[in-house]
Formats: sequence, C-alpha cells, structure tokens
Amino acid sequence: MHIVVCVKHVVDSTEIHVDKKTNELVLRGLSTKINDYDKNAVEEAVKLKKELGATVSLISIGPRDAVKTLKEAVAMGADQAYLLQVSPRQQLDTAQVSLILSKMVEKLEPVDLILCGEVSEDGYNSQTGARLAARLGLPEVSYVTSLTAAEGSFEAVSTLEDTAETVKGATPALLTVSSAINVPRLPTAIQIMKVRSDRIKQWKLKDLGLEDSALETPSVTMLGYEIPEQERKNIMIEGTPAEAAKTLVKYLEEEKVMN
Amino acid sequence: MGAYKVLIYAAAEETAGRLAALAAPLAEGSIVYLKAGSAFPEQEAEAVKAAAAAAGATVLIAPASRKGNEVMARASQLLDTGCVTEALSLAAADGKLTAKRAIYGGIAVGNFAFETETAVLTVALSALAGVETAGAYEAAASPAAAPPPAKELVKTEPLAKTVDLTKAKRIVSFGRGVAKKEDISAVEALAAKLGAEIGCSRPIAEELKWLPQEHQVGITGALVKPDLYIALGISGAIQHFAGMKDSKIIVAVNNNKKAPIFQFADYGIVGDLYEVLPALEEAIGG
Repeated sequence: MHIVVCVKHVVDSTEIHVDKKTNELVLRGLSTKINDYDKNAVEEAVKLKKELGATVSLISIGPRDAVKTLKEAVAMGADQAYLLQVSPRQQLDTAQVSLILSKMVEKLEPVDLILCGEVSEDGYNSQTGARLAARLGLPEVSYVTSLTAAEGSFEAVSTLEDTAETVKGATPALLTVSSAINVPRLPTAIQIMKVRSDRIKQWKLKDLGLEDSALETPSVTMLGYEIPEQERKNIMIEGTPAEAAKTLVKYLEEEKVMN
Repeated sequence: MGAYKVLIYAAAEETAGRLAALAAPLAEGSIVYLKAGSAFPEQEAEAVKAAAAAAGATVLIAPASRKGNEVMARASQLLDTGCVTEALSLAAADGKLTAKRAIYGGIAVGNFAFETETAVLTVALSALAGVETAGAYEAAASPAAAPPPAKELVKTEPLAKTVDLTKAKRIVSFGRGVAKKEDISAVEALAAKLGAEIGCSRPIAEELKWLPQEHQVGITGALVKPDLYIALGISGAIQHFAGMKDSKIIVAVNNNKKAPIFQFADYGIVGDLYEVLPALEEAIGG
C-alpha cells in the first residue's frame, strides 16, 4: 500500500498582528511551520504504515524553507518527501495548488490512499482535498475522524455538523482528516536533525510536465483587505485579585450582562 | 438587476431563500434553485455542474456547511473555475464578481475577485443567519443522476451534543492558562455561578482533547456571540478571536499583560488565574 500525504508549509498565523499606526497586517518576519491539520494526516498515515506495512510519501509546494516542515513530517515516520519549490513570494490559489499536487501524485503512482488535513491554518479555504480528488477522478471522504484500511479498501467516519457518516470504499481514494482523529506524535529535535536531506526530493514544474505559466493565471485574486473595527473599552482593572474581582463584578452588573 | 445568472444549491428552502436574497442584486432574470440531495458529494457536484450548464448559470452559491464546502469545491474543479468558501458578502465591480471573506483566521477581511467567467461560492453560515429568507427563486430542472463513486454509506448517526455555544448568553472559556485537566473544575464552578456554558481554545479541544470539540470557540470551532464572554488564560490567537469577536462584553484574565486577548477585551485583569478565579467566584456571591 502506498499512501501519499499532502503537507503545507504555513506562516504561524498566531503571530500575525495589526500595526496600529498603519492599520495594516504585519506579515513579515513571521515564523513558519507545518500546518497543524496536516500533522494529523501524517500521523494517520504512519499508523497505517505500522499496521499494514504501507509506504508513506509526503508532497508539498513551498519555498526552500519548506524542507524544514518536510523533515519534521518525515521524522514522524514517513518514508520520503517531495517538494515542488516555488519562490517565497509566489501566491497560489486552490486551483493551482490542486493542479500541481495532482501531477505530483501521478508521478508517484501507483497510489492507494491520499490523505490531507481538513483545512490549512493560513488560507482556511477547505478546497484543496476536494479539488485534488476531482482532478484525479477519485472518490473522497471529508472530515474523517476515524479510519481503518486494508489492501484495496477503507472504512472511514466522516463527522459533519450534526451527523457522523460511516463510509466504506475501495482504494484508490482521497480522505481529508479532522484534528479529532488522533494525537500526532512529536518528533524530537534530534530525530528531525537526523533526517537526511536526500529523503526530501526537490522537483521543478518541468519535472511534472507543467509550464511556468501554471503559476501565472490564478482563478481568484485578492484585491485588498480591510481590518474590521474593534470597538472595545480596553479597561484594565488593577488591584489584588480580590479587589480586581469585585471591581469587575461591579462593571459587569452595570453592563447588565450578569443575568 | 444584475448581470449574472445565479444558481443556488442548498438542502433547506429557508436557506435557499436567504441565498436568493443575498444574490438578488447581482442576478439577471430569475434565480435557479437546485435542491441539495442526499447522494454522495461526488454525485452532488456533478449535479451542480449539470444544473449550472442547463440554466446557463455563471454564479453558483451554496451555504458553507461542511458538505456544502465539499460539494462546491469539487464542482468548481469539475467546472475548472474559481471558488471562494465562507464568503461574507458578494458584489460586482469592474465587470468582475467579488467576494469578501475572513483571512488569516479572521483578523482581516479580504476582498477577492474571480478571474474566471464562472464563480463558485459558499456563504458563511454566520453571514447567512442575518439575511431575510424571502428571496425569490424557481426550481432548477433535476439533472440526471451521476454514477455513484466506488464507496457506500454504511450508516448515519446523529451526533450526541451536550452544548450549543452559538446560542449561549454567557460563556466562560479557558485556554492553556489552565495547567491541569483537574483544574477545569474551578472553571466549571465559576460558570455554574454565572449560569454560563463552558468554552475553550483550540489547543484544549484539538491538541489536549480535554473537552469535546463542541466546546471549542474559534474559526474551526463555534462562532459565538454571547452577552458575556470571559476568557481565562487564553492568549488570544487570531483563530480564537474570530470565534468570539461578536460577543457583547469580553472579559480577559491572563498572567501576561502583553497577551493579545487584552486588545479584544472590554475588561482585563492581569493576574494569576489560580488566584483570580476563586476571587471572582467569591465576588459574584450566591
């Protein structure tokens, strides 16, 4: 069994803040990391590897710095990783990302299962898994919270807003997994360091039979953004815990939100 | 009167009415409604594609439910067109359809333009809730059923939920500032005194799994708007902010005076949670 996991290298969105003088987002100098939801996908693949003797390949699109993310994911127990390197300034929409990923998967055939995180922490589009499955003509199960697989088949529980659907299917198939599915193992710094560079293979667009123009024509572009006004009182209450608590309760009574 | 032939895709007619009302200013002629079926998303996506072709629709809209997002993302790929999920509003400018959606977890709202002739959108459920249900539409001709994918539905079970935070009037929410799972009892005691529901940040539900996900407030959890939101030991990551920013009054308690949560708060107390919590419980009285 060959499992491919899509892994995204993202900026740490918890570090993004608004510059109060310019009212613009501060996006420079942010640290980067593996998309948390993709860790759940890697973990699930590694569990299946141990259970079924599967081979786990990781695929990613990103700048050179994404090697760091892939090393971390390989250290979790994957066999190898493939990076389609793009400029750090390159913006890609979900149509472009799914096109490149589909070519990467095709190059890695035969593939039995493709696992993705349910969403990325930067874009929150929730599109890539569905688009990739459509491009490859594969059946898909989304928001998977439980998964078992055997040679040629899988069974997954998809958790929606109000219902949980158990779905049985044949491979090849694509599954997007929820964070509830498992607790990803944490590789140690030494384990990550020990991942040899030759386990991360770098591909160029032409290796995938794609032209540079594949990156030039987005289907959706961002024209700009606005920062929503936050009108908050920002009253800091001083004093000992007992004093502060009393003052707060007084304020909340005045606001009439206590009952 | 707009310039776009609009197709809406939703299970409930009430939702269809809201989507139609939202799209009406952009619509040319009558809006066409394809009722969402219970087939697999692969088949539903084919149905959306076929219904759009039959109606000549170039704007395709659905609610941003989990299934709605999956069906529309897949449909947009079948149509080889742009897709914006979780849209807050839509408009037309300079001959292009545009849609606004939260970016970076809600700290800002981005304005996106479709570069493709056909635009596929899902509308955030929070944005839909505020729209009237009276939008007019006519039923789309039912497209022929697409062949089933290589899978079968074994069973569907309702989720046993104990709490719906989106309807709560008061929420006491906690994050990593609570050091041990046992200490949740102190948060529960405060919540009980206030008649509040318990909420939590993403790490508590998704990483530590101390509470089921229905307690999680944030962009991947519940989007809440209580009268009173008390954030205990929550640093205030954007992802959390997006889930509670519409609360009427926000209180933050955190031992780090630089925690971003204080920027979003009406009232803030810098202090040790383990001292402030019992003090608060006492100050509220019986």
